[in-house]
Amino acid sequence: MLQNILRIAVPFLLPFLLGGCFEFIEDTSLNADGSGTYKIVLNMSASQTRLNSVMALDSLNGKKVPSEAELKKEVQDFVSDLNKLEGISGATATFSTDDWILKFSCDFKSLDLLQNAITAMLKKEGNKNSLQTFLRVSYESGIYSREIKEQIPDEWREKAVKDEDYNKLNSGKCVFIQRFEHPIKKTSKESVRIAKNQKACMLILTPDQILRDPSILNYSVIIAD
Amino acid sequence: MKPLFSFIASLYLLIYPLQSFAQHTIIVPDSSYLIFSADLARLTKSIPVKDIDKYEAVQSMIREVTGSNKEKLSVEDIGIDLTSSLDIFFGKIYFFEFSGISFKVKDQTSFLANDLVNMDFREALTEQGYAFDDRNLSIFKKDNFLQMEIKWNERYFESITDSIFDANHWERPFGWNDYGFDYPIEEGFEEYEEYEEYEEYEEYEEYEEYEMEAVEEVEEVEEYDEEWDEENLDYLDYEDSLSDAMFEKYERILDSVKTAEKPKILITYIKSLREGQNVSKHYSDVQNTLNLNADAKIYINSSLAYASGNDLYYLNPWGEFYDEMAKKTWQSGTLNFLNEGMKIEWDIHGSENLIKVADAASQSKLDARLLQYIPSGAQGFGVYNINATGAYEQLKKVYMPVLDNSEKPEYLLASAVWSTIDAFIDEEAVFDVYGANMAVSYNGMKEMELEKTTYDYDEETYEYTERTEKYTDKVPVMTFAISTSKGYLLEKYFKAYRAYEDYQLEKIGDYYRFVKGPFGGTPYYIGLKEGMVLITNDEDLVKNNPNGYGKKALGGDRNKKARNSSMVYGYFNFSQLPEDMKMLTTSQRERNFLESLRGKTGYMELEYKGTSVDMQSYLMSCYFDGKYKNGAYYLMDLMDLIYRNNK
Repeated sequence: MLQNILRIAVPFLLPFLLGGCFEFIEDTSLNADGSGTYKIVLNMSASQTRLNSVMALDSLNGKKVPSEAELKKEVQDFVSDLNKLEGISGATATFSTDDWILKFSCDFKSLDLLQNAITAMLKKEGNKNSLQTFLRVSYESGIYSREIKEQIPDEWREKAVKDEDYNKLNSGKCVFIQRFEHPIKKTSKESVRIAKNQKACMLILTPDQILRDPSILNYSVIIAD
Repeated sequence: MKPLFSFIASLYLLIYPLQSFAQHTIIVPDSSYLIFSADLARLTKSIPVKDIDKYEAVQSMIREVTGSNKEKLSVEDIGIDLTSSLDIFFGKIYFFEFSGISFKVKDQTSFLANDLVNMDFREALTEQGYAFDDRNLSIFKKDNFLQMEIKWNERYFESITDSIFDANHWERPFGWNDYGFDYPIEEGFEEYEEYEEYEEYEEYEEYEEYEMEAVEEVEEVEEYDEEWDEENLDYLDYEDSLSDAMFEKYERILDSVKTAEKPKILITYIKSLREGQNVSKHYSDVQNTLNLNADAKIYINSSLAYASGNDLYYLNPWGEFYDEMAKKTWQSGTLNFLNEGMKIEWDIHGSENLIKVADAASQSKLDARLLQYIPSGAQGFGVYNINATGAYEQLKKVYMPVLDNSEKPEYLLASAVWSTIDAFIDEEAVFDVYGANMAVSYNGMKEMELEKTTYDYDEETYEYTERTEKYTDKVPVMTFAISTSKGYLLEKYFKAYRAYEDYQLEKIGDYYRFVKGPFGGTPYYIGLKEGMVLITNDEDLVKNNPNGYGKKALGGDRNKKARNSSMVYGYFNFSQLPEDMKMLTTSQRERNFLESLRGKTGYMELEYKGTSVDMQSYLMSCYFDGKYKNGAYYLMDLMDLIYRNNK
């Protein structure tokens, strides 16, 4: 689903990121038993002029540009398929080319099952590797941790730097939020800020920060007993 | 066939810059409805072979066509006679549609070594001068070579198969008739007088060879009857099995029909081509076009594309009327390179009556106020004005008697209905609302204030809420201006629309604002002035310049040409376009391509040149920026650039 929307957003992920004008929010709420709710917001409203221009085309770089109806169907099919997978329930998504905002949420029984489900969906889209090959997220014994396993290839980075839009990367925003039932004791990085109510933490990065050093996304959160 | 299409596609690189001293090749099939003819002699005069060979795109094309691995190739290596013409054609006869290419070769033996020529055809072409398979055919006629791809009319073979089934009183597969395969082949066939040479196909030898096979098939189907065991086989399963067997039988007989028919049809067709059955039926139209003194010529007769085997064509009660009109309507064009660009002259030919209507439509004067809404810096604009009332009156004058004098009941009824409507309706009032007197302009990219969604995060919980925020971005500006005295009707509809509390439409002072517009999702505005409707995404126009741009409006020669134009006038300057497009592209590759277009831009102008007894004429002129020897070099450069970007 996201792949297809990004196919519209731009033919390839990299130039989309280089467009810079987007906001990505990953919001994970975790219960004490490891279950929880996973939400994603992809806000591309600031790129609407470019995106609508792409939508006006029949194809781009030899690839067909899907219509809004086709995109919406992709979203609904994704949600429908996801709801059938083990440990996932209540998946919903909305998407419109009016504001170019994609909102997705689902409930999960455990982070492992959530990652397995995302891997299954990625494989359905033709990706051979599992999500865990790139990213491992866990919540065990009161410790939430996330780890990026693979680095961004150098050639990607070099290509990005050469792009005229590279400087726009710092105008984008990637937000990672985790919420817990119990107060947070501490986080492994200062950049991961704790909310005043002590039950949520947030890391805000720009796309160029992630591109330069993806390990910046590696952190853990320790929950008070 | 891939090399052929690759060859055709690549030859566009060559064909556009063609200039005609050459004798026109005579091997273009009779029923071609689109012919593109280029004069290679003029090409090589405008741009010598040694210069053509320098282009990467040309090298690639020659490599693919010849199959050669030589590092440096020449167009001459293909073996085409570069003093002759080259024709690309598309056509249709009852049995198949075709597309192909035809040209003169210098030496048959060396030409046959090209990858362009199907390897399986080479021996037959050498020995008998023609070769074919199920989908392709190649012919030599003296030094002229023709190669075409064929798309068969499946209904023809199905009709024969149906006839075999009917003659033998066999049941066709379930639901077969429901799919509309019962096409009245014989009627359609007979209507094509030009295919008299195929009459032999109407005299089928009672399909003896098919009947023998078919009888065997029936026996197979009957076996299923015996196999139906009520206890072990569900009736639906039985029905499915029977249906499958019937389809299989039908398909097998159909295949037999095709196997027997196709070679017969093709041999007859090839014989007719080799004996001169080409461009003769429409000889004067086609030959007059192809013999024009121009670098490239185009002939289009769309009525031929519909004429063969189109159900709707024959079932339409107006078919005859349409047929009469369509047969006399065709188009021709010439392309000539100039030192500073190129010129395309386009003529639309029609019956005297039809051209009278078109001429009446052109008797109109542009509302000069429209030009006030085109800013002087507009990159492109077009004006369009039609005397719709005059055209309608002329239409009535020439065609109503045709209907009245007909003996066909539907024509007489049409006349009665038309006359009734005509008596009730004030056509002048109608055409004042829907009349065509309008202008459209592209004013380039303009920075505009837009709205985006952003998120605020609550420091207490990190919950987030949506907020709308203003931001600026460059957006392509388009304006439409329509001259009409009935703009108040639109206002009434807007009032009703807003009464439904639709948040999409807002009234601001004298103008309206639609929240989401078609240009990059930005708002667009509608201004209703006295006698004028304005539609634009530039608020500045409706807010600050509702009466036009005044001294900042389009002036000079462009204004004069547009003001004095009939029917249509258009102008577009491409100089700034690559820069504009860069703002809308999303990849560096596209930006690099657009950047490389700098210096390869120019401007174009479209004009209506007038009407004669049987045709309307238009002229499109293109002029390039930068220094090129002539338009051929310019276009080759542009094509080569596109090739390099896409490879």
